[in-house]
Amino acid sequence: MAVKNNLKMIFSYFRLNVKKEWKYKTSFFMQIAMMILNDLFFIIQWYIIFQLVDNIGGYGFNETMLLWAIAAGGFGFSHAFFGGAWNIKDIVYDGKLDVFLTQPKSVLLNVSCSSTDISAIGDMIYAYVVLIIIGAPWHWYLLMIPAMIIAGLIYVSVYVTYVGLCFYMKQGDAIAKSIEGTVNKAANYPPHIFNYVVKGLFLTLIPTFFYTFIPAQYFFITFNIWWVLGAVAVTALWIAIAFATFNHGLKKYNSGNLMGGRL
Amino acid sequence: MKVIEVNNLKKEFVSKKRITKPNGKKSLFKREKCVKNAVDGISFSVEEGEALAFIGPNGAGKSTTIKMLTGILYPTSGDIKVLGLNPSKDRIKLSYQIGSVFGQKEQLWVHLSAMENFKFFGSIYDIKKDKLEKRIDELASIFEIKEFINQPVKSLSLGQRMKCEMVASLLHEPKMLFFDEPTIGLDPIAKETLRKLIKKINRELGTTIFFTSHDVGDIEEVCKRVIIINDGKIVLDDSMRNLKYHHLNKKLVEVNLKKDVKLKEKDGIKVLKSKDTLYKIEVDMNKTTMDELMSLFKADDLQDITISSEPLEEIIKDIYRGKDE
Repeated sequence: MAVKNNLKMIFSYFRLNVKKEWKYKTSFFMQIAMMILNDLFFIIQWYIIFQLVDNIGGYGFNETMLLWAIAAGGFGFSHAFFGGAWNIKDIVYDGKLDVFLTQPKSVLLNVSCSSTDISAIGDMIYAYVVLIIIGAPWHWYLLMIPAMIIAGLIYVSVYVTYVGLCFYMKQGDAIAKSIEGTVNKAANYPPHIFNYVVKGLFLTLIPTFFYTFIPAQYFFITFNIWWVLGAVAVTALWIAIAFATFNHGLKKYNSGNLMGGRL
Repeated sequence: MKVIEVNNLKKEFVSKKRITKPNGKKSLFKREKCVKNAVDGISFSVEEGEALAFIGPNGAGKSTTIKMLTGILYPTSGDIKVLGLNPSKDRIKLSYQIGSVFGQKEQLWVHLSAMENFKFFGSIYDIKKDKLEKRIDELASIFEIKEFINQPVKSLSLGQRMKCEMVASLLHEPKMLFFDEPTIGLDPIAKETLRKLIKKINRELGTTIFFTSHDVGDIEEVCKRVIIINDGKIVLDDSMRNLKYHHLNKKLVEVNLKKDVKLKEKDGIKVLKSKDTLYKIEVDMNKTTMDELMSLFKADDLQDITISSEPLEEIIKDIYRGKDE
């Protein structure tokens, strides 16, 4: 029942956020279109690179594009449904968690769902544009849904885990931003180019491999149920860590008396 | 039945500042702890159906107390039970049973209509569609918001917006409502309307009201009991009737005499203002009597006299300043 009610809340927030942006239709479509165009630019970049070399770390153009598609889709999913997570630092510093704390829902989930980045819808569409470009088989289009969800949940959970530091220290979000930057940038490169230390890091503290490589390799290229289940378990673990750090930090929350409303 | 029980509640805010060295320069690494006792060991209880005013000057600790009662802030020490629940541990359970209206913090989405907001809050409070529609309709009639319920919140006046805020807080039929300065910024008519509505919620629906405001009119009209907090401590906990009875010992007397008479001040009689034959006099009934005042001039010289009680606002100001025992 609680799961159903929370899912209902997530979709209510998404519907409301889209409805809010829909009032300015030109801006709505422009944001999505510009994001797709921006992402498409990187296809040209990689196309030029693969004209010069056959493969990078064993990955050809199609495999690298698949990494890109999952990264974009996961990023899009996280920012479309949990875009509020990127406002946590400001909300905590300005003491604006009060409204969320008076409602009968998990504060983290409530805050995270409260905002949607409309351009993120462009990222999710882009994931499918890439599948069309690389001529993906039909079942990849279906597999992209769980891959996007896994990648998106990992991405937002990692960010929240580190941004939770802002309850304890000023500029705690700076660490979260650099971790996020690393996850984001490294996610687009074939995994075999990294040495063992970096690989270890990308499987643990900065779980980039669970964001793109493992879904790409074991959901799409060589399907392996154990890796799929492993990815689901790691995602669940990161979600649990994100909730635990955030809820622990809440005890340090100081509230505030700034006047303000919801836009 | 007690709906709020607070025992020895404390909230400390700790900040750190850089230590100043003997040479006057600030240390780069060493910091000292500064502790501010926002709420300093308060205890009180509230009965079901009561309308309680919880007031105090700025920084007295009233908002901090409300925030601890609603589960927003964790107390440093002490016990709180709201509707039998511990707000820090049972925040989610408690949220289904209480509502809050913060005059300074709107919970509505301003780009959307009030109706869209209410439907959204329905999903937050897990209210079934049929029940929600019925409840919105019922509250829209009570609060007279039907004519603007479909307008974007941003286009509404502040008074209309506050009515919608209250409706949003009542959708889930809370047993208790916390108001933190709900009438802030409202014009006198909107204030009056809101006060009547809060009274109605209290009297007709039996909802317990916990109210903070700097507007004495709000408190006088809505609440039957008042707790005054200052510097984190409770300085008065009494019924509104007792507050007026015990503390209204000063009378303001305005006399207009036929001729200019030099009025001599006595113990308990103070001339606040005089102009020609008009005098404004403060009489402390604990120290003197009206007869004493009348003895200062001849009855034949009296043209007009008005006796009024000291405004409640002045009494509360005196209590804030610690002048009243």
